[in-house]
Amino acid sequence: MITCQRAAEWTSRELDDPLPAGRRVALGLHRLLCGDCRRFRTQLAEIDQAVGEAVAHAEATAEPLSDDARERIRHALQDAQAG
Amino acid sequence: MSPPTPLPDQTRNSPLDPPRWVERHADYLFRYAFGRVRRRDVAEELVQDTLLSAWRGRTKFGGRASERSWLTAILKRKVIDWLRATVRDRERAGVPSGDKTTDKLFTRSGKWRTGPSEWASDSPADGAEREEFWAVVAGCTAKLPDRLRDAFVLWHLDEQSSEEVCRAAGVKPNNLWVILHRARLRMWRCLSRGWYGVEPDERSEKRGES
Repeated sequence: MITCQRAAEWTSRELDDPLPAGRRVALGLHRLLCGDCRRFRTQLAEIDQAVGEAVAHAEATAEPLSDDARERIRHALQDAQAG
Repeated sequence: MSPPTPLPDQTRNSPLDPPRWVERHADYLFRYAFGRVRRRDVAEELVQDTLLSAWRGRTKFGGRASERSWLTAILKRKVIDWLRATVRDRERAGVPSGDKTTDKLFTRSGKWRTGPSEWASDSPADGAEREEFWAVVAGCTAKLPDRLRDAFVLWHLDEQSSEEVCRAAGVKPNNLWVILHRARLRMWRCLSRGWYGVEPDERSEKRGES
């Protein structure tokens, strides 16, 4: 029987790629007997989704560009456009 | 090099308007970049690179997307390239063999120190609560060590299989999995406390961050 620590590791890996058959069976068996690890899988999947969406919404919380940087970028672009 | 002629009006919606890019899009692009790379200087540089690349490649703008989505797509590639290089450089310097913060969630024999509890609240579907939830998720992401956060963000941004993410970044898959797993465990711990209202490691004696 694999440990919960190992089960957690494979649960995480399972979110990235399919597990090899042997591990899938061992993990399935572990979860059948372990409510904690069943719950962990649900929570981890939910977190992964939340993080994915948060990455997509990250711009909402950032501060705007500084005036200095804006001027620098404006000049660089003007230079390029002047060719 | 093509001469800087005005862009033709063959674009379906509106033509590009490079002189107004900074005014119209620079803040948006900066926020996009900063939200992902978390370093102001890098984000500023990526925005500048993006606008310069866009200027050089302006004839490739097909007009199917809006100007902003077109610029954002260019920036996204640059953010991914930067994250790949960063993740690769860190991996070359070595992946630490243990992570005290996440190891503490388990006993020596590999059992949960405190098993995952039922979460007190769901992740909210919409509205103001959803905004609050994003803030908590962002706060937890910001607390991740750089090496974990950058790999995690790359994995989420790249939209490829982890094997492809590894190949493109030049990272050993096993190392990426270890890094992603640590990032997830830390996010799980942080969100369980910060949003879902439980303390996954309340029985552990020390709570210092490693």
